[in-house]
Amino acid sequence: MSTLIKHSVASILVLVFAIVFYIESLKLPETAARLPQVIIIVIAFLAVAMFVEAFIKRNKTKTANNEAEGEDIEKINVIRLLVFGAAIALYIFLINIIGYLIITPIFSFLTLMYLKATKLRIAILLSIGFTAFIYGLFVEFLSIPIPMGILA
Amino acid sequence: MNEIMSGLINVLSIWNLLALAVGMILGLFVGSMPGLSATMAIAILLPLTFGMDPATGITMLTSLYMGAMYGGSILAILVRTPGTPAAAATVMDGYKMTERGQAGKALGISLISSLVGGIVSGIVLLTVAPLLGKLALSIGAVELFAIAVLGLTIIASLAAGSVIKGLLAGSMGLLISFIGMDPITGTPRFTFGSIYLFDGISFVIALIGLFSIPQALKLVEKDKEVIKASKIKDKMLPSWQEIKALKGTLTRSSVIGVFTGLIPGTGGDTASWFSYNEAKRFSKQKNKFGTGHTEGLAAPEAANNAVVGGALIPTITLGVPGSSTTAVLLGGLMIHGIMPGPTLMTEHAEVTYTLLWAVLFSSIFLFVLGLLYTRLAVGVTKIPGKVLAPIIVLLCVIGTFAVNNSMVDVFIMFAFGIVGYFIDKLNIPVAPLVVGMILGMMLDTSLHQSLLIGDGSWLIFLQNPISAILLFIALISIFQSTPLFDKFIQLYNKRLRQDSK
Amino acid sequence: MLKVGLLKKSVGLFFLALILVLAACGNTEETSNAEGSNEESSDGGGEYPTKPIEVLIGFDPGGGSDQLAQLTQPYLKDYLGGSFANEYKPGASGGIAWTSIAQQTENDGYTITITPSPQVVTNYLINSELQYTLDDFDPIANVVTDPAVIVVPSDSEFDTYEDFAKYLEENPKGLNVSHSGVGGDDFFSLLRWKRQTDLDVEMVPYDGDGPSWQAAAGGDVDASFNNLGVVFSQIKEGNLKALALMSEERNEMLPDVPTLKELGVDVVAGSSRGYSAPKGIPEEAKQKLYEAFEKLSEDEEFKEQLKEVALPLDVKVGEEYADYLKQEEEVSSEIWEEVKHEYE
Repeated sequence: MSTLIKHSVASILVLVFAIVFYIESLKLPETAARLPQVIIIVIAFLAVAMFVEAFIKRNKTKTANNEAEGEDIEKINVIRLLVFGAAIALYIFLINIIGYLIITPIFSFLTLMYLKATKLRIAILLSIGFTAFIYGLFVEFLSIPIPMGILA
Repeated sequence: MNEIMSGLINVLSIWNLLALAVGMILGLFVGSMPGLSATMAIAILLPLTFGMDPATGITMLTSLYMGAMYGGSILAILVRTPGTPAAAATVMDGYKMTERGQAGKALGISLISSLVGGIVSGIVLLTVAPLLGKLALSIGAVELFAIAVLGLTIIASLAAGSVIKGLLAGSMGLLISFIGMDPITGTPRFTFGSIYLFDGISFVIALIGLFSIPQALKLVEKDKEVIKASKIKDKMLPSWQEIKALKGTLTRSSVIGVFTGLIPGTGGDTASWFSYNEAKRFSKQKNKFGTGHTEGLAAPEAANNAVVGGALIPTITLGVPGSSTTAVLLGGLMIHGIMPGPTLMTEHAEVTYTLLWAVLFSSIFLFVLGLLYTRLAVGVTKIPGKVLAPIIVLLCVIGTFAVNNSMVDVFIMFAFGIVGYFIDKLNIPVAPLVVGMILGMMLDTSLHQSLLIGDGSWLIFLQNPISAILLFIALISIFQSTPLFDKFIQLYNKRLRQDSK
Repeated sequence: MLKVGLLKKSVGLFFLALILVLAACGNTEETSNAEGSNEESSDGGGEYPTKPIEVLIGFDPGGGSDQLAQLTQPYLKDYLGGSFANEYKPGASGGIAWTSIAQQTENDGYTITITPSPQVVTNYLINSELQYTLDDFDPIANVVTDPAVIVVPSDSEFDTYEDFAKYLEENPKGLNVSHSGVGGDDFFSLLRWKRQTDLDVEMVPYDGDGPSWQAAAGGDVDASFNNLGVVFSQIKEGNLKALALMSEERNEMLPDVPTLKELGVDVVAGSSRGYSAPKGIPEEAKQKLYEAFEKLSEDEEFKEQLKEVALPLDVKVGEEYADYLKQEEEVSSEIWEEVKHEYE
C-alpha cells in the first residue's frame, strides 16, 4: 500500500473518531464539554493536515526519486501476522469462558508451533511450564484472581 | 539528631536488612511484570506484615517500592514492554540500545541511574524533608494547571519527524484521558453508556496495549530477528568515564524526580517524561535522543527512582500521599496503629526515621540485587523473537486482567494494541500520546478548579507567581521548538561574530 | 541447538528465582491459612462458614473501604471462626462491584461487600446507568461513622462557626468551599447544610478527601467540608482549624469543637462504612454475621485501635442498618432532585 493511501485511511478514521466524540460531547454540561470540544477541533484540523503533508511528500518523492519507497519496506508476512492477531483475539475471547488454565497452554502451544518457533518437545514444556508459573505467581502467591472459566 | 541515629541503628538490625532484601527481590520481580505494580504488591503483602514489627514491615514495603521502580525498566529495555507506567519513557532510548545489541550496557546504565536517583532522594529525605513538606501544600490548582501546560510542551519536543503527527498523537492522548467521570460536574464523559468506562481508561492498561502488543506483532511479522542478541561479554556496568559524562543529567533528573514526587497527584510517570525532556533541552547532542542515547536512558531512570523519596516527603511530614503507592503505604501504617499525619516525625519518630534510612539502604540493595537479577534477565534477548511473542501476549493479558480484575480492561488493552501497531506503521510517535494521557485530566480539572476559585477570571494564572513563571517557561519551550528559534540563534551568533570583529 | 540450550537455562533460572521467592514468603501465608482452618474445626458450633468468605471491595487497595476491611477482619475472623479473602474490583465509585453483587454473585453468604454510605445510594441516584438499588442488598452491619466537619486554614480570619456564617450572610457566595467530588458524602453534607441555613458558597469539587483538605490548608479555598477521621491529625497539628462537627454529640478528642446541632443547624451528616450481603442469604449465615458484629462492637482492643486512627465506632446491626440506609437514600434523593438541574 502506498504511503498516501495509508495516510488517507488514517486521516479518515481520525475524522470519524473526532465526529463521534463531538456528537457525544453535545450531551454534556457546558463546563464538562468545553475543553474536550476544543481538542476535538484541533484533532480534526491535524487529521486534515496529516493528509496534506503526505500528499505534498508524495509529490516531492515522485519528482526526486521514483522508487525510493520500495527499498526500506522489508517484506512483511501478512498472513502470519493476521493468524497470530486472530489467535490473540480468540484467546482473549475464550479465556473468560473456558478459563485460563485450559486455554493458555493450548494458545501458547499452537502459536509456538504455527510460528515454527521451537521443536515440539520444547513447545509442550514451555506452554505447560509457563501456564503453571503464572498460575503459581498470581493465584498461589499473590492471590490475585485470574479468569477461571468453567473450572470456577 | 538522636532520632536519626537510632533510626540508622534500627535499620541495620538483622531483621530489617532481611526485610530490605526480601522487599527488593519482590519489587524487582513485580515491577518487571507488566500489569503488576508496586501499589498492588504492597496492598497484597500488607497483611503479611501484621506479624512484624511496624518498622520492619514498612522497611520491607519501601524497599519493594524502590525495587519496582527499577524493575519496570528491565523489560522496557529488553523487549519494549514497560513493566510500570514510570518506565514508558525508558523505552525511548533503552530499547533502541537493545536493538543495537547493547542490552547489557543499557541495563547497567539504567541501574546506575536508579542508584543515583534513589540515593539523592534518600539524602533529601533525611535532611530537608520537613522544609519541603510545606511546599507540597502550597501547590494548588493554579500551579497544577501551569505544570500541566508546561508538561504539554514536551509533546512538541517528542514529535520526532513530523510535528503534525506528534501534535495529533498528543491531542488524541488528551481526548482519551477525558473518557470517564468528570470530577467537576460529576457527569460521565464519552463513556457511551458503559459503566466500565466511568473511571476512564486506566493508564497502565493503555500503556501495556500501546507498547507490548505491537512489539509482539512485530516479532512475528518478519523472518529476520528484530533484536541482535547482545554479546555474552557485553559489559553491564558503564565505565567511570561514561558515568562522569552523565553527571549533569543524573543530578538534574534526580532533582526533577524529587520535586515531581513531592507534588501530590504526580508520580514516576510524569517525572520520567519531564526529565527526559529537560535532558534533551540541555544536551549538546539533541538529535541523538530517541536513537539509543545514554543520556535519554539515564534521565528517566534517575528520575523515577528519585520519585520514591520525593513522594515520601509529604507522606511523612503531612500525611499527604505524594503518589498512589505511598497512599497504600500510609494505609499500612494505619493498620499498624500509626496515625499518618504531621505527628509521624515526632510521636512515631522511631518508625519514621527507620523508614527514611530504609530508602537510602534500599538503593544499595537495589544495586547489588538488581545486578544479579539483571544478569539473569539479559538472557531474555537470547530467546528467539517467535518464542517471545506469545509469551509477551500472555503476560499482557493476565497482567491487564489483574489491574482491576476485569475482562473489559483486557479488551481495551487489545484494542490499544491494534491501534498502537498501525500508529507505528504510520510513523506516528507513541510518546506524545502517552504524555497527553498522563496530563489530560490534570489539565482539565485544575483549569476548572482555578476558574471557580478565581471567579472565572483567567488572570488568576498570571497573578500567582509560581504559575506565571511556569507558564513563561512553557512559552519559551514552545518558541524553542519552532524554526523561528533556530533563526534567532543564528542571527544572535552572527551579531556576536560581527561584534568581535 | 545453542539457542535452545540457553533458552532452557534461562527458563530454569526463572523458575529457580520464583521458587526462592515463594519459599521466602509463602511460608508465612501457609501458616496463617492453617491457623484459620484450625479455628474453624475447633469452633464446631454451626456449619457456616466452611470456606473463606470473599469480601468484594469496590475501591482501590488503600482506600477507606480497604482500611475498614483490614481493621475489622482480624477480629471478625476470630468471632466467626472462618477466614476472609478480599477481592478488589474498583470502578464507577464502587458501582461495578455493587452491580456484580446485585446481579452476579451467589447469595450463599460467602460473598459480601463493603458499603460506604451515602455513596452506595447516591451513586445510583445520580447515575441512571447503574443497575442496582438498595433492594438488592441485605445490609449486615455498619461499623464506623466518620462525622462531617467544617475546616478552615489555620490562618483563616474565621475562628468560630458564627464568624463564618455571619460573613456569608453579609456576602452571599463570598467564599470558596472545597468538597471531595460531586456525588460524594461531603458534597451532600454541604448541600444539606446549605438547605438548612439558606447560606450560599461557591462549591469547588476536588478528587477525594485528601486533595479537598489540602486545598484548604494551602489557602486555595476558604474552607473545606470534610471528614473528621481524615483531617483529625491536621487539626491537632495546627494545619487546619475545625469550626463545627456534624455529629449528634461533640467528639471526645476535640471537646472544644461544637456540633452544628448545638449551633441551631439541624444537620447530622458524615460517611459511614459497613458490610452488606446480596439479598436473600441463608438465615443461618445472616445470624452468624450479626452475632460477629455484635461481639466486635464490644471488643475493647478493637475500640482502642479505632481510637488511634480517629474513627468513631458506630455499630448498627441488621434492621437498624437497613433503616439507616433507607433514610440516607430518602434524604439524598430529595436533595439531589433540588440541585439536579445544575449538573445536567
